[in-house]
Amino acid sequence: MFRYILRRLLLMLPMVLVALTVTFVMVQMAPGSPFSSQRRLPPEIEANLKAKYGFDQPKLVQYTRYMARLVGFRYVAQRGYQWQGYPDFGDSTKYKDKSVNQIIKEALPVSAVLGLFAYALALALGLGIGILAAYKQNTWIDHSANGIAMLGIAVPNFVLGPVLVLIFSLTLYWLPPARLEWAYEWGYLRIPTLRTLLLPALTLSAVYVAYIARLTRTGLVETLKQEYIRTARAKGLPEWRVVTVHALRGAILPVVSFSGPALAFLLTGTVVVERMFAIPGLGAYFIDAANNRDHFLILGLTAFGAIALMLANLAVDVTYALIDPRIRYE
Amino acid sequence: MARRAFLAGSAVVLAACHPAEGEYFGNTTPPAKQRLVFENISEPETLDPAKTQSASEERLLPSMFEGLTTLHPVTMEAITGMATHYTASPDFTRFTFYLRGHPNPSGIRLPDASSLTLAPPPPDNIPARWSDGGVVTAHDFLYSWRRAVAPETAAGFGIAYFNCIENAAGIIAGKIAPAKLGVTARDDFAISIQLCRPAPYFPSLLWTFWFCPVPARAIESAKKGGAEALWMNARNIIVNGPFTLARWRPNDYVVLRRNPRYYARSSVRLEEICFLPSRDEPTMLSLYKAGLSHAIPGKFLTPEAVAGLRGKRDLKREPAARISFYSLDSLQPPFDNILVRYALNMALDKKPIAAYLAGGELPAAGVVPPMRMFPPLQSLPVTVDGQTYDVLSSDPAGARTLLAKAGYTGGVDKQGKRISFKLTINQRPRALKTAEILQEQWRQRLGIEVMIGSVTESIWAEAVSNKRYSGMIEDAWTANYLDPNDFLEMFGSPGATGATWTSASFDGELERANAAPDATERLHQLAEAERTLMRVMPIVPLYFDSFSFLQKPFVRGLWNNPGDVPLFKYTSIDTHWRAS
Repeated sequence: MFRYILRRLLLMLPMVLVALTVTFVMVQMAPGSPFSSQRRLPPEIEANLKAKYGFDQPKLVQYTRYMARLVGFRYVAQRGYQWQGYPDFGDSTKYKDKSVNQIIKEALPVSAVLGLFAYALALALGLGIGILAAYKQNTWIDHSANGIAMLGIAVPNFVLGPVLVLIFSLTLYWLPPARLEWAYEWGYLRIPTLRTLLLPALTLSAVYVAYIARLTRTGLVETLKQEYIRTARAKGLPEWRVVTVHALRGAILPVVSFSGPALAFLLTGTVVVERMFAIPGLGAYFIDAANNRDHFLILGLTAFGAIALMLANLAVDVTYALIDPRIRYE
Repeated sequence: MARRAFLAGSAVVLAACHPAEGEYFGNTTPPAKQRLVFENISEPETLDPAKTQSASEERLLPSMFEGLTTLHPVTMEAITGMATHYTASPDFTRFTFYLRGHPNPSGIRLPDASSLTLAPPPPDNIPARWSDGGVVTAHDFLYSWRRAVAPETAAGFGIAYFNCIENAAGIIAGKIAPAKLGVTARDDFAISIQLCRPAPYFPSLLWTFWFCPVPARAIESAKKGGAEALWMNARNIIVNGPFTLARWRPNDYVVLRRNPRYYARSSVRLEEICFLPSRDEPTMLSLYKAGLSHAIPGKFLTPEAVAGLRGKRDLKREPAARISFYSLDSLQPPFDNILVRYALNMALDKKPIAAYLAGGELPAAGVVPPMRMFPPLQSLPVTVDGQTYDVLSSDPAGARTLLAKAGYTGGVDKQGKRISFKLTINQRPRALKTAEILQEQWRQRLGIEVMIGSVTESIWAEAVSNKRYSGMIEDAWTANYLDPNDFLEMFGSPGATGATWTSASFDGELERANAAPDATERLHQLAEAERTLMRVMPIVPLYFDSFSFLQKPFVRGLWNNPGDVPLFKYTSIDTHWRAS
């Protein structure tokens, strides 16, 4: 098992390298300049800016310097490469005084807390609805659960969000329409108040509730027909134990494999919901970076997203082995 | 798709505002404290005045840093800032400014805005102080300006305004040492500036961020610590303006707090200002409606939102010192033919665009928006083959005649090919709608085909600044200082617009106008320069903008001036306000 994880981790390195190289080439090919703004830049001023970020160098030199920075060597004018000892994603060109590391450090915890909460919400609601639907198969409960799930998948979050805001914020005045307020702050880690977190988390989780409910129901309907369930019932176990422990364990595997990428996506920031609710997470930067041709920020976020996705997939595979004793990795 | 979704969001928020709901948009309960929450639209890119590039800082920085002069919050004219008096040489190439604290300042006393506050203005002979207690001296300006033009600072676009100072252009280009900038400290409280061309408008330029003093001590000690940017941390920052940085949470808020050492502290009423970067219109509108923000500045509400808010008493409107126009490539056919350019402009009826935008925009004939003492250009008769046409008026028949004279009868050239050109616009719904209105007019009235290409902002901005586009491109200019010269100078070589036309004789005309010793004579000559420009017609002028903004009824003393620069120094909150 340990060797398996190690091998997977080592394999990640070339994959991240490929992802970064492809992104680097694509960013270079995209039209538009990172320094354009509402006003035009006179050429000498643009030249100074380009020199500051090293964009006046040949592409290959830029690529080498960037990769060197990623593994901890920073190129400093006149002094050459210098060891700084940590992976450095470079400087943002839009946010003039910030490094990409700094931006990720500030924004990631916010996205992660929101994502985690939304996912917990999705898991609780999704599993609940799924179990209920499978257990009361083909009754009105099953059908209405199915309906809710279809609605959750079909209604995009940029419709659901404003509708929730309209109902709960602008008509009933129960919850604020946007922005998080902070209940606790420890350095970069900030915990928002439940009141402000509820609407964005609900908007974010709707689609996951739907998927999880459907996956759970399908899996559970299948496992409930298995021989070992009959055995469990024959042993005289209470019904809730049969369903939630014995059957669910076998039925939940599809939910687990769905959860990996879903979690990676949720934790690293969601573009639409964060923008809609003015949440200072990583998601807002994704659009900004692309729109502003903020080269290093795009690269940094891509690398970060890729690593998060791969780690999540690895976690899924490990969880498989933990849940299902039939699965072994050599 | 996402953008359309956001627009739909606006409609939802506005739908929640039923006409019967009252004369104001949403919650009007004032806060208990002097704490203003201001919608700043987007996240500031930096708080370093020299490096600023975006409108977000335009609303933030004037509260933190104050230049030699500052802005009158209503009229936008230059008023006393760190300096109280100045002298100018007769040809406007040498200026001396006397700072607060100078024992015997001479020359012209700058006006102040004391009529806007109840507190008496502080006496001129008491020096202004930084927020750490240090005195603001001429040497601070020397340090800041040399730093701003130094190439390694990599300053923002506004640094181009330094070009009128001796040696500045050479320093920015890296050819001359920053110490050679044409600025000297006559004593601790007097600073002399040698210009390389006449600039009677120079005092009104000095409020802009690029000319603001920055704290040498904080910057140098941050540099020694290895990271210059750290000087902008709330812990390290030193300011000379009415408010200082209390907290900055990226993409969440920037909080400014009253600076107790500001020279006119007795007139500052607000304790705290919180700037939000909400960005999307539905989010902004719902925060405002719920009472979680107190004001939304101009030029951001879409025409659809403005239409939806019509009749609300907290929706206000002010004319803007801004022109929207289309730049064209007059070096390539068919626009290299001046008659074609005349025809394009004369064929248009610009009123429908103003009607669509619905915010009180004015159809534009020239390039300088209406200003005090400078009425807008209305007509310009040009004689072609013995017949006189007003090339600035809407005259479709005349346009067709001129187009035929240029060899394109009915919009078709001698080989039977119809004129068609590309129009590049910035990807925003209002730009597209405007372009479609004009496309239709050119098609119907001249038989010309226009292909509209909508691109993202950064591609559009790069195309404009490099003048790399074909046909025509959307363009606009907002005044940084309220003077006709700011609008005319953008057509001087090498040109700050997308228009490819430049001319040494026009540059000379502008320079002569600015050298005119008499102010009235100068404006007269500038008006003549505008006529020269429109006779060449390197652009198609469209409309002078106006700003529509929202402001809760309990906010006092916050004006939207023509440059959309809010000054919070005079603002307060009427905590006892109640709807009648």
